[in-house]
Amino acid sequence: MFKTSNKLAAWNIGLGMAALFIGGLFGPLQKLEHAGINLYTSLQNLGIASYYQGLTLHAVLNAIVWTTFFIIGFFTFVIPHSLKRELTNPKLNIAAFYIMVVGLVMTAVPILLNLATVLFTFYTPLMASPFFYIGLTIFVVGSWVAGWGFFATYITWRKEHPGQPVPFLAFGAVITMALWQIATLGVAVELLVFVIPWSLGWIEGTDPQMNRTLLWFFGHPLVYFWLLPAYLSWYGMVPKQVGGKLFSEPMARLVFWLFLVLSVPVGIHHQFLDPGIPQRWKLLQFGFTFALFVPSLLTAFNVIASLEIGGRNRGGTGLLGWIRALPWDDPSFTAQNLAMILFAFGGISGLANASYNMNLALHNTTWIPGHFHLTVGSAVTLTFFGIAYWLVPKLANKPLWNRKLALAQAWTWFIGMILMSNGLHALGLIFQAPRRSMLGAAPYASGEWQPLLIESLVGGLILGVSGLLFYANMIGTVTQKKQAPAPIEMPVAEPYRNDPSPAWLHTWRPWLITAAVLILVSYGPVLTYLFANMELTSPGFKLW
Amino acid sequence: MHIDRRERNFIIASIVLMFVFAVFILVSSFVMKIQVPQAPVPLGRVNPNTVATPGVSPWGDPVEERLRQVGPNQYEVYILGQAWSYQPAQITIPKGATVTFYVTSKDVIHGFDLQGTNINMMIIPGQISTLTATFDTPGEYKFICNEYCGIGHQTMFGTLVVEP
Amino acid sequence: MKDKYKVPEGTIALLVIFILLIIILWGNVFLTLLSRGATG
Repeated sequence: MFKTSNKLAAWNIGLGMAALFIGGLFGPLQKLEHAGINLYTSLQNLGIASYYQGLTLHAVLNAIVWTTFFIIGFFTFVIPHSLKRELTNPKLNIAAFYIMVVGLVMTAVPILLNLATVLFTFYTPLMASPFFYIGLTIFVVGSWVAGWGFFATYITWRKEHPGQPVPFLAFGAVITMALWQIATLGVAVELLVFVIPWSLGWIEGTDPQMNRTLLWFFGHPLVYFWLLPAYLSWYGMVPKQVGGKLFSEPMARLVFWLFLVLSVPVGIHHQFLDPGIPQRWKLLQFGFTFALFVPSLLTAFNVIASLEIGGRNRGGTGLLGWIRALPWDDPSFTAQNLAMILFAFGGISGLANASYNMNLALHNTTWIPGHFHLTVGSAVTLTFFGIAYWLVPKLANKPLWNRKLALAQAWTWFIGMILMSNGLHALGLIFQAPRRSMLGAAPYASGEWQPLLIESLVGGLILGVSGLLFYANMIGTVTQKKQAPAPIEMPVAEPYRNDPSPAWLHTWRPWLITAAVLILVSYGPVLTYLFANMELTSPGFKLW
Repeated sequence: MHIDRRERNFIIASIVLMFVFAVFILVSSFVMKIQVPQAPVPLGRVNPNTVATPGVSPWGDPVEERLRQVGPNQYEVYILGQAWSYQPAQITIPKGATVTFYVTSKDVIHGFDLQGTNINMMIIPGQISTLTATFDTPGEYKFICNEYCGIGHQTMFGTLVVEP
Repeated sequence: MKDKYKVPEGTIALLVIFILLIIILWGNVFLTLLSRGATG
């Protein structure tokens, strides 16, 4: 029944993994450079002109291509299996894949030709080749088409099952795509209205403050696009994998609705130190951002309680003894649990970033990459690895090639990430060392930074090894001759309690209206202000 | 909707914690005056294409005139960011001076992070970034560009010298 | 096997540790901010 969607899911996930492999290669190179070992001069023979071109590739491939393809692939698998019906219009989702590939190629070629060394936020008035921006637009449109295919399937299911609540996994996936649809409007306006015409020479100048604001309208909900699929697994799959149950399914649904409503009206917390935004809008969005932290705290309670049920079902006793009874021999569980622990720290550093004037101490220091390697780099990526440890065998119909290797991969990622992110956080907080910089060549770098740079380097190298372990296992799994002894099933968590959940957790309208109102209130006035004061004076600069 | 009593207490505790942190933040910004840059700025906006032209704006003045004393121990300094240097790149002030920084860019977005202080601002062409600090401890303080601005980004910095 | 509804004691213990960690780490950054002085 699921042949088409399984195959499409495999293609999306495979392409995402290929992107992460290439993007990931630059990670250790960057850490080496910071510590004073510059391998980029040798790389020039391979076509990598600079650290900054490498950094652009690293971020675009890891934070955009890997994530989006994996997430769409994951949902392409999850939604049909959760709803127990194939995609309504598979051609739509197949077309989406091809559109995204076209967008990817159109974006990748300028980056590889060193025509788009603008980093993944592409702040104007640094100006890349128009194909870079057009490629990104096409890529995003492709992801919309995938979402429309999912929405169509969801709507059909609802017609076929009137009055029934949507199964949790499909529900979470559809909310994530709805959030993505809303979030991408910001970057779509930035690209279509301002940046692409300017890069083509149709408009002479641009307003960098306006463009930044439109980007960050998108840039914060982007991280929830990344995070919600991980939460979906933690809520909706991992409890089953540990022999437990989802402690509170209604609260889990509520959390997804809250993210739909609160993820967008907060983007200005990335711009607390921008000169062109009036204080009252920074303060308002600071308030919304603090509210946005609450659903993640709720997730902590619900997920840990679900794990506790499993641990105690497996015979664990005592206040914390049940932790040891969890299935630590299952790499899918171990990777995801270690991801949760790393995320706890990432969430804390994120809370600091959200704290309005606290940004004065943190913004654009290495604290920031310290933070996001714990979140997108661990909560999301390590969880996706954990999902891959059952999903890739399922899609290939072959067993995971080497279970012990997978466990080693999860633990080395954990240790490597602790070392690297600790080094980066400390370097940023204590020494205000800047991010996005060739620190190894910086005249202002202090000898005092060296121990932390070495700690970061060791962590980064361990992460590099961990990544190789992951790819070895993936390749081993799909290329081996062995077949899976029994069909692998998608883990689906059951709810702990069977209370009926209230109707307002199953209707879209009030939530969508609330989301729209909050976005209008938080962004309407500030975008109007920026538009009224807009000066399209900046020409493009190619400074690499 | 059933909510476990302990879960409800945790939700309440989380919300209370957010409010407590928010109070600390608001006190530190409005009472202790650890404030972020903001718009609008009394000096208004600038055109990055002409801002460095002599006679058009303070950032077009000769480098020696960019640091101005405006009162006993009160200074203003007009710093221009460009790929990949600040102008002036070295500023000398006496101990105890209060300095208001006015920084803009004539090309792309830069950063301005003054070590040892909370002066950390995005420098956006067309916009003026301003914050103030008092320097009670003699020494050398580097101000560093912390936003990617091209191939020479890592060399972009200046020095503030506080004389004893 | 029917689970009897149990109080999630271990969860609460871990979350108390987590909240303490938040307070300590956030507080550390806050004190660093304060130590660097006013900007207004």
